[in-house]
Amino acid sequence: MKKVWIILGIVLTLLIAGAVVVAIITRDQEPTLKQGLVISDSVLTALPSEQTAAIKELQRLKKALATLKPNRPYIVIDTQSNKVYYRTDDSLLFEAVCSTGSGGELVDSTSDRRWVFATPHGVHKVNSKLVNPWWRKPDWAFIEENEKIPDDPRDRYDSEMLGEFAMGFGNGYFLHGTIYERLLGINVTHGCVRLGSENLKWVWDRVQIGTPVYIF
Amino acid sequence: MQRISHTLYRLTPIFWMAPFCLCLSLSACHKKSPDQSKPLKQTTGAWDESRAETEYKILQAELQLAKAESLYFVIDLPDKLFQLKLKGAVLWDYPIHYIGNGSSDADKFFQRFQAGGQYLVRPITGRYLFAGREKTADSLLAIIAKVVNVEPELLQREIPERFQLQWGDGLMLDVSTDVSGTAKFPFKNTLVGVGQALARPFGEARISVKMDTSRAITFYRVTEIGLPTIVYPPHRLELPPEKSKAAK
Repeated sequence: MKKVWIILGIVLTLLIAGAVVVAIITRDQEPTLKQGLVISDSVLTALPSEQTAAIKELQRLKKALATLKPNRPYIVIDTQSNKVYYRTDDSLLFEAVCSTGSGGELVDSTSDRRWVFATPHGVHKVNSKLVNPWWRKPDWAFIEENEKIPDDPRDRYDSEMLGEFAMGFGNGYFLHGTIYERLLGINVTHGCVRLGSENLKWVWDRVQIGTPVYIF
Repeated sequence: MQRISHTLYRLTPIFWMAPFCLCLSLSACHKKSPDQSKPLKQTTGAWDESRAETEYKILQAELQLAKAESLYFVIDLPDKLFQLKLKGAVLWDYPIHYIGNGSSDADKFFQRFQAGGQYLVRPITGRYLFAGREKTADSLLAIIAKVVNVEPELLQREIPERFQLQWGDGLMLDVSTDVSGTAKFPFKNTLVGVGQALARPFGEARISVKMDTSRAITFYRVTEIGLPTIVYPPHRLELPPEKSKAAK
């Protein structure tokens, strides 16, 4: 009989220990909003009590929210899945596999310069459209290949690397073609967005200067 | 041994108290969200002031989020849509395909999320991967990783079979995909599962959905802890169409 109590005791002790472990693992964390996103009551206004005024106020707010959205199709670049979308607010018009930034880092030990090869998240706009673009290789392209940085600027140009078209969206970042189509779908670029030639043509034909580019 | 057994025998009443303590400790861990007892009135068509007030506050909160330069997550229950938005624009969306009770779970989820109007925006507080597809050695990725100076692991994508997002107060979103995955931490999975099952009587609101694998990758990777989330009530407030100036 005593043995039964001992076993029961051990089982219950283990159960309590287990419960404590479970409680620690599954406990709720304190919610923390990213800075600048805290919604406090002070910024909220009360809805007018009179029905017509209330409806008007609700409509005004919905309109205010709608005006923030682009009023024409826009490009979305999904760096998580390496996809480019061309879409409106409620419909997807086009989807293609792309390659985005690797997130890797390059440090030049001689000059202590540092580059991070990430595609910049946020809202941008197409600000240039180029046909048969030439790539002016920046310093990191030579450092990465363990090559000497050329003195003659003409030695920096490459006519094939960017494919047939390029669409700039600021700070030297482009949506362009590639000679490495096999690597589409993988985060391998230095921050630019690469597309296969057919898909690049499709996007090129529709995108205009000013088309919004959302990257996440 | 005899002395130990004697001591244990004397402590028997404490052991009987153990299950009670267990329940008590779990209930303490899962604090009940306030004001669960006041569900919103659910009328359709007629003007409902309380619902209008709720929707007005949520719209104001979304406007604040949309003015910031950060991604936010919208659970649009009336249109049955998940949306990832930036500056008010939809970047990613996916229809909600419920598994299980569907709309009644959605109702419960919304009530608990807003806790009687106390919360308009909640950040994701937890993300748990129950099973992902096993990573395979990929020689191509290994070569690329060397060239671009990145860990090959980072280039591989974790394809989730089942994962869970949490917002605290027992609020959970379970996402399952078609891909057959392998549990990364089977023991931890069991513990989390047991913990959630034991905590269920103390209150939880869970939505279970099914998602296409390719879309789930983005969803899983983007929904990081801290991502602000907003939930629209399951029944949309119908507003009369705005009179256009031309009609005057």
